[in-house]
Amino acid sequence: MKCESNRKRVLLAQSGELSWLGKRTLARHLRACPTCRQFESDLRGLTHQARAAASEVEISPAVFERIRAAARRENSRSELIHIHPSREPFSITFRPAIIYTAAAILLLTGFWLTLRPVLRQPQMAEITAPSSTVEEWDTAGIDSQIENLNDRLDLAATSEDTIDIENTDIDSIARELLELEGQQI
Amino acid sequence: MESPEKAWLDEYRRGNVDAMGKLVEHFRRPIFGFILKMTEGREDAEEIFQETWLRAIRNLDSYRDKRFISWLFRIAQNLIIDRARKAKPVSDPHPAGPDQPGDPWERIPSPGISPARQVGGRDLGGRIAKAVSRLPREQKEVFLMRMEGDLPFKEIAKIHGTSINTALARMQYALAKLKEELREDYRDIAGGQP
Repeated sequence: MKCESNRKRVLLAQSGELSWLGKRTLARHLRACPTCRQFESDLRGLTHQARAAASEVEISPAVFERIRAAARRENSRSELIHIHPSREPFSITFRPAIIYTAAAILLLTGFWLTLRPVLRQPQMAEITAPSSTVEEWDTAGIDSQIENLNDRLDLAATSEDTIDIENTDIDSIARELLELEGQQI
Repeated sequence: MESPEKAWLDEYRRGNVDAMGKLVEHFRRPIFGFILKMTEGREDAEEIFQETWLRAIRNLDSYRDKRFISWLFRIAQNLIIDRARKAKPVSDPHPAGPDQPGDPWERIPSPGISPARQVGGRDLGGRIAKAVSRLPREQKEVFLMRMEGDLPFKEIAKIHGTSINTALARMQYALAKLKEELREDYRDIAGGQP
């Protein structure tokens, strides 16, 4: 098991992908293990020979010419390339902007939903009052009631002796009036 | 530091067609070497090389890989597989059974009839090439991508859509098989290193 993982380390060391710690572990193992040392030596030798054997490979000039022609054609076709050297598709270019906008919309919606009752606090009476009271909250009706009671109060106070007010009681009218005014406030 | 291929790509994107020529020349050896060995010296190796570059040029906008060479290897690998799939079997040494879909790679002409393989064997390099050609496809790909393209295992794994451990295991199997095949030559191989 130790040798197996260290052989992977040998391969990774050769491709330059081994960490500093991995190199240290491997060096320690190689000092103690002749089989893995042989594996490393074989790999180095084979790599050298295989790369040396991969001598110059010739390709006919016609192939290069065709690639060049295609490159020229493609380059002139996409004139935008000249304007935007590192042109990227819309989705890539604007991706951050789209993400930020979506996040901002979500945040604002969240705020609005959370803070809506707080923002509407001045109308708290509307929320807390029982439904029957809310229905009576017709200001025009209250105004007219107050006006009516004021008239009756004035009448009772000034003409108590001469005008007969049925069941008139100044105190009860005044109490009613105060109650109504209290509601209005 | 900016890699030369990135500078050439930017130059090409700015309209300099010669920069593409420099790129083709720069990657000629690893890419063509890979194609040549994967197709075992078939005549269409040049065609595949050309098609690799044409595809790369056409799809340059979709190029996202960190390393341009990895992208080229991926295109070349796909083209080789496509060709092998389309090719009519010249000789079919491992016919697929009724339950086996069959590996298109098996339809590649037998190594025994390849002219490249006939010239191989004259020297150590030739014998190594011959032994490499006998490796199973995945092992051969990993071995050649390492040797020809000097690709790191992380990139090789990405090209194959596997884990780095799988790529490393394939390389280990390839090395073990080559050692077995080249038993007689291993003294020279170990002695030939710098």
